[in-house]
Amino acid sequence: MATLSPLWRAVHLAERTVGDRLDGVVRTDAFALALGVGLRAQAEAQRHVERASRRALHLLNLPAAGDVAALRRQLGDLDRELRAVRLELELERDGREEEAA
Amino acid sequence: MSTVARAARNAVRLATGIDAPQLGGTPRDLVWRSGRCELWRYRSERVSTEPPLLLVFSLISRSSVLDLQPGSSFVEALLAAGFDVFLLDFAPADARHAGERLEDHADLHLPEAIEQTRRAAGADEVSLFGYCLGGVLALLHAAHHPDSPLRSLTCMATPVRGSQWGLWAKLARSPALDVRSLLDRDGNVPARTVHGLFRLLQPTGELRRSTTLLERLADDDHVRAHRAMTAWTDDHVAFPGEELQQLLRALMHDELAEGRFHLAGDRIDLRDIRVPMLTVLALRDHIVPEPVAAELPRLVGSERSDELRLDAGHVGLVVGRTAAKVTMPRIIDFLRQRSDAVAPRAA
Repeated sequence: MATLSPLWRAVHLAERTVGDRLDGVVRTDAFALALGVGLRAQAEAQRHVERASRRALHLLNLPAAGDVAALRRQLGDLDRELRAVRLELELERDGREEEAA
Repeated sequence: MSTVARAARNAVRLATGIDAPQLGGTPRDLVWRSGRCELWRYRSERVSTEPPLLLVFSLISRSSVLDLQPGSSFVEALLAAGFDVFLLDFAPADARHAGERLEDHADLHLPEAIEQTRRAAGADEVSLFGYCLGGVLALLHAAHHPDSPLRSLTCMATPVRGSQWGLWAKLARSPALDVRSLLDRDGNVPARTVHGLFRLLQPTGELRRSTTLLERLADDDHVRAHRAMTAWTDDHVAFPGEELQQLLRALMHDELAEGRFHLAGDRIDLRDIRVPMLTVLALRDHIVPEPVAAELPRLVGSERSDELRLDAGHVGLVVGRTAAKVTMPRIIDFLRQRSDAVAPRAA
């Protein structure tokens, strides 16, 4: 391995020092707690905005993005149920064919 | 060309995005698609081993890491070893998939993919291979369906004991965490949140990589590899909210490791897995650290449960020089021992 120049040695040393300290901080219970609180606050703020825009759209008898998402989710659930039924039927048919053979 | 000129040329390429690496370039064909599942078959002129190998990838990142670049591709190595390689991949989740659950994978997607693989390859069995969360899906399927036509099961860097997972375990168990706060309006964990959670595992990881890149700007091979890896690590995918809730229970609360996890009302016991099994552990894995994955060989009921402990990182298992020289040959050797040689044919 080539010898590092003094500049790069200094850069790597600084980066390791900062990195090791940051790694230590993010592994603490306090950080996890702060992160959880921060995420919750951010999500609540977003929900507040979405509730307001949903009320406004509903007043105009228009669907909100959440309404469309809910419908799409139902479609996805239905699709998976149908595929599960189809797989069961195929396995049953294959089982009957094997018996007949 | 001088060092300075090479560095300048690489700097321009990085800044402008020209000559960006094309990931996942090994030719393949779409065999089957259903919902957001896609089953791919990699083309080969010399399949000399059976049964076919079905790779199950993770739900939260792109499968292109298995085929990152020519010369640094896990898929290429498997094809060169004569395997008939299939990949079960998942398109990013949208609003339709927010309600998707782990049993949809274990009881629907994997059985379908196994059946389609058998049909396409004309085989009675498959060798199942899961990477990271793909390994968790493979374990759930094999435990819930002990009669699934599997010749062997390989789990690589697969988490089972999430209580050892450092910051993620602390966050999952923190009273401050409301899981809903991780979800977007569609009910999924958005890609940027997945990316952010990964960055927390190594807060200065990007700074370190950038520093190394600057230092080695004149090294064409390093710059090329850096661009390919960055393209992959920056490209996480959205992930269904229901599955997140289940994985928190299964992994972070150790329900899967301790036989307390339920799927579709059935208790999942990993001891119901009896097929020959290989667990691959990366000893320098900062994404799935060794304590999170190491217990797996002792949790399954397989008479033959082997373990490969490799001096590599999570991605280094499948990418890079160590992967090509050490990791892949040893994995391929295990798979070969549980496969049959056949007359070479095209896939």
